[in-house]
Amino acid sequence: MDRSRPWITYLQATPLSLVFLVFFVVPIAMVVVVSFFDYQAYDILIPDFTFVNYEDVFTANVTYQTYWITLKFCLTVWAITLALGFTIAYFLAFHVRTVTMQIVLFLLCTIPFWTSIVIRMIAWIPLLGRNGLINNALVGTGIVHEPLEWLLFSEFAVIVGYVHLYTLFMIVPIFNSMMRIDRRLLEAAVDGGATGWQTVRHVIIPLSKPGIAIGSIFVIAMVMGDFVTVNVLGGGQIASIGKMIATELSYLQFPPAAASAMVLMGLVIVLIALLMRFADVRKEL
Amino acid sequence: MAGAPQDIELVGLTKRFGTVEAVRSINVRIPGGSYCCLLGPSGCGKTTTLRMIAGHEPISDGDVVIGSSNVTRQPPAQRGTAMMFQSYALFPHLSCLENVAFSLQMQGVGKAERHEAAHEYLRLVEMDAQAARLPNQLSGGQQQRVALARALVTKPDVLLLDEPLSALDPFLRVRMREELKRLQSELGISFVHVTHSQEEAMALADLVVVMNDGRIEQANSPREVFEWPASVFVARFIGDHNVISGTVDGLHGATAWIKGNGEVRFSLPADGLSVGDSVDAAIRSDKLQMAPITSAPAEHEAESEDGFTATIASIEYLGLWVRLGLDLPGLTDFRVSQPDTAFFADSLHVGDRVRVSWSSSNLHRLGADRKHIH
Repeated sequence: MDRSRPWITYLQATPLSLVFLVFFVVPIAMVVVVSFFDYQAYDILIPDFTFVNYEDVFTANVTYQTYWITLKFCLTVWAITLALGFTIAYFLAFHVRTVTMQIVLFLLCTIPFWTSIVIRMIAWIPLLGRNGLINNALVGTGIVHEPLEWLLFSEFAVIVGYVHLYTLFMIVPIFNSMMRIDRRLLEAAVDGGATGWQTVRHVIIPLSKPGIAIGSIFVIAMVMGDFVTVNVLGGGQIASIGKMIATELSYLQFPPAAASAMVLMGLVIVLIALLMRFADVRKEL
Repeated sequence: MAGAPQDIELVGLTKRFGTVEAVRSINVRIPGGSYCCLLGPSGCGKTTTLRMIAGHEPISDGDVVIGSSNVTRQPPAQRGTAMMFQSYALFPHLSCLENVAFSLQMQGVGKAERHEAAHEYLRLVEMDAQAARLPNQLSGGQQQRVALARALVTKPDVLLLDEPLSALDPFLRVRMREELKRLQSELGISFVHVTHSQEEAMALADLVVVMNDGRIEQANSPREVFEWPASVFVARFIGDHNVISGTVDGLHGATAWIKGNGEVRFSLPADGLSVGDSVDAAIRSDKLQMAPITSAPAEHEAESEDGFTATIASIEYLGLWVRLGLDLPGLTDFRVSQPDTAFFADSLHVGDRVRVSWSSSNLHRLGADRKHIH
């Protein structure tokens, strides 16, 4: 490194810094500013510095109920995607022998992402609906007499949708972590008398922690902010924070929407900070 | 586990990768409590052999017998072996202490007890002071000691070491070498050590198993391997030997006269040889006499028996020894080692003509290679 010209380093970092500034820092700063604005029915943005929007967020009962529902979704989906993602990544990383096969199976996992999120969600309707495939099959085989009502437009449907959407975001980072594990470590574990489960528990899980943390960040951040899945598969009956904000926006209530968004962001940051304590993600970057 | 020292016997041990035979039906018995080195160039099958003994490589054919039990189909942990991996394979997320205690933890030994045992073995390798450190906070030599403690903590009958010294710098390598030997004799168990360094094998081993192309070329004590190499391959690989080849062109009583490549003529005991046979022989580079030729080479055309005249192509001063490379058509890599005092008494230079001769009792006839590779 040429120590005499540190400005070169700054110059090299400038393009990315500018991109971040324009597309990330400025918009968020604007949301922060707007969250302190006042508003009226026909005057949607009144420059001000008021805490009214935040007071509204924290005093409304519906806020706590919605957060509770969203957190429940978040936790359930996180647990399911973690179990699925870890298992699939483990299979891909340690049981598939050839790189070609690994790539083929990996691409297979990404196929759902070749279509838009809305179509993927709508595709569940003919499957889970009252006269959908599953209900027809269950009634036809006589397992149930009436079609199951809770399959579609229910919490169950929302969770199915989330798992479908986000499991890949768990698989990829965990797979990445696992591929970095030196295969000799597994032999060393076997040499030390570890069984398959013991190797997973004492060697593979600890060494996959960064991947698990990154996957968890993806899933948590996306579930907390989602409103499309809840809208399509929840059938308008189920609330979520994302949907609450979307509703406020649709009434052109920008300042309260901004305040809700800031509170949500604060919560997500806290969750991610907790996850960062659990694993050193820097190793993975 | 460790009771009386256990012999290791490899019986027709074979490893095939697809159609390639990496290890070709080898047979050897490694006596209990001995230090055995598997020696050979890379790709000769030595590491594969070690991994088959350890149970990390499925065996295609043949058996591995340790003591009185056939362990061919047993998992690594039940064989009474422990392996020290090349580049050590320490668990990066565990401290030294936890690394050493790992196998005891897997057996379900309680925390206090396994930590006590781990401390004991860390003391054995003088790493107890670093017990709380993570592997990446240690130097290569220290990591190796921890890996050694981790392998020994299970009290194995046999310790398997895969190129344990190759990652160390030369000074450390010699020190660790001494330490390995000391540990082996203290513990009284068998060590099987894979290496491509003949120096390492000579320094350490009770039994040297020289391998080439998936076969055993020779399995003897270091001295036997050095003094009586079994094949051209062994003679070349072990170093400090010159190999000369030729065809028998005359028999005189108990002596066979051989016309070698180039202008070399030499004699060997006749036993079993007949005219026209091709013969390979080796002679140690320090068993050669060398005399400068002061007058023109033409006068020495009529050369007597074993020896030849050549030009000095290179001179390497090695301290105790001076090694001279000779240039003669038909001979490759012919080297003479002279004690430094003898060399400086003659004051030879590159390009000088010299007469090289030897006593035929120092010439050692070599068996044919198991397989010639070209």
